[in-house]
Amino acid sequence: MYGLVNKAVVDLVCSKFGQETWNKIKQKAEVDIDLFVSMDAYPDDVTYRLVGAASEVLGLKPEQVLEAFGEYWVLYTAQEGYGPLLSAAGSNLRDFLKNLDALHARVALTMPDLRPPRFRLVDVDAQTMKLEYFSTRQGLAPMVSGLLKGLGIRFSTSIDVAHAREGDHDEFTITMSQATA
Amino acid sequence: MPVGLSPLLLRQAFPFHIAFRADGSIVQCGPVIERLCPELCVHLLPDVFRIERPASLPLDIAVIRQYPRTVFVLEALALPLKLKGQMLYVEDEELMLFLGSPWIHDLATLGDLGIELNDFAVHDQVVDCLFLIQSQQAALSDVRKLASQQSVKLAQQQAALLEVEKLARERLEKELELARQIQVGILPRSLIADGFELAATMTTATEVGGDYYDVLPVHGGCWIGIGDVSGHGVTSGLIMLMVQSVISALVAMDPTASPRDAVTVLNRVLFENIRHRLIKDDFVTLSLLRAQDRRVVFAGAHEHFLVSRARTGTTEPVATPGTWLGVLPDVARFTTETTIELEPDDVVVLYTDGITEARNAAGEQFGLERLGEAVQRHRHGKLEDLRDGVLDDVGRWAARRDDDATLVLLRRAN
Repeated sequence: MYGLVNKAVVDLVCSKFGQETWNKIKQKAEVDIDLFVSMDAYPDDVTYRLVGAASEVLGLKPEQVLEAFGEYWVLYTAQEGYGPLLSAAGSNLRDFLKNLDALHARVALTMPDLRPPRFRLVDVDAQTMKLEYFSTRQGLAPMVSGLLKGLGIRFSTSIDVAHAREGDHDEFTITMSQATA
Repeated sequence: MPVGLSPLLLRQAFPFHIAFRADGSIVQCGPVIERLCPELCVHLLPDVFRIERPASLPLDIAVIRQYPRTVFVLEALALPLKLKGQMLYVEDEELMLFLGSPWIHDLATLGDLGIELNDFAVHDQVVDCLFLIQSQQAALSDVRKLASQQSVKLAQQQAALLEVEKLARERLEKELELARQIQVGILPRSLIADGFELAATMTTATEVGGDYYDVLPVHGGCWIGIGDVSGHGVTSGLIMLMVQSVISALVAMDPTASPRDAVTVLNRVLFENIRHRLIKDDFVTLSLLRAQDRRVVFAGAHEHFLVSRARTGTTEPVATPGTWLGVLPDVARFTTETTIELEPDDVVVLYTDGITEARNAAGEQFGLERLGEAVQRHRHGKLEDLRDGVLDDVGRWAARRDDDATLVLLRRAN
């Protein structure tokens, strides 16, 4: 998983719970890194250990930690890491989600150590879309839920996210409510 | 049949293309150009764009045709848009086709122009370049953060180091102060002896130090010890205490004991305590004198002492043969006993090297001769005045005191 993702854990914990809590989590996870190099690849193990330790220290279920972290990532860390590119990736939720796979594919081309997930967006109706998520990694579906919720906030679109596991991939049904800002 | 691109496909494949005629009129352009530069519909190309590269080229098809396989950069006049690409001459239509896409090096331009990633053709590598530029910036930003974190860490480490040094210094100062307290604490409080007048002074210098003296009154006179303990700090203070305790115990047991015997016994105690118990390398120089009636009997090596004779008005140095104490298990064979006779009003001047080795600005030592002269000058009057007079002279000679300085004066009464 590349550094930019792990950065979100550090940033989220530090900003919401403080440096001391981060130090505890770091110690528990046996991860001695304070600054993740954004564009560098780290063993997946590091991310899992951080989530596990955060879950213990903060008294939250790992799924809750992952979801919080997915949302935080989109709203803050990705913004910091990608800034204008993120804005150019789509001016509304649907367009952005349509681009999600292409974005990951392009990032993978320039950083061969990464194994990004694949996405496919299917329109169901004017208010509903289905995002299919294919990943070589296990257990990160809650993070995608969080990401989607974060994107909803980013695009000022009120959404509901329902998750289902379908065979070899996950499906997220996104329902947008009528009123959008 | 060879394949060409229909206008529709051309629009899809090259969303930023511009096809124009010799007169500058636009035949067609890509959908994103249409959106960004709507005035192209009604204006001529040279009114909307200029050629930035190759420099100073006019937007003239005849001129442009002379530059095949050349990188062209078109700059929009009314927006911060630059297009990089190539010019292709379409012979049968007599038009020039510019195929290119936006040249972006500052990602903020995307937002300024209202360009989205979807505006680029999927095959266009410019988008990948943008990702590379972004990763480069992210990497730079990480490096800066790391560098600044390093600076902070370094500053903290240096501060911690300074703190450690400061604590070490303070501990050392405390220890030296304690040693000084011991040194000064064991000094005699009163200087009174049968048949003799006494005056003494010791000034301590914390950094170096180690001077010791004692005056022990006995029937008919007193014992005087004067010496120097090597080193400084608490060990040195403890050794001084040992010297004072052993000598005063021996004198209390036998006030008429031989100074040579006392020195020999002291050495044995010091040798055992310093070498075997404290396990240190310190040593002591000590002259021990017993002044009774008209005689001064002494043993133990320290500085020469001076005797100022009342009758002749001269000052003579007296050697104190012997060896360091605390180094050898037995010093009997190196320790000799000497006796001198004192006449009324004669003054014995005992001192440590803090007096004779005091240096003036030119680096010259006060020396034994000058000490003798000072004694001669001030010997008339009270013994305290002689003491103070000599001290003044030394003080005037050397403003700085790097070492302990001790002076002990003994005058045989009339």
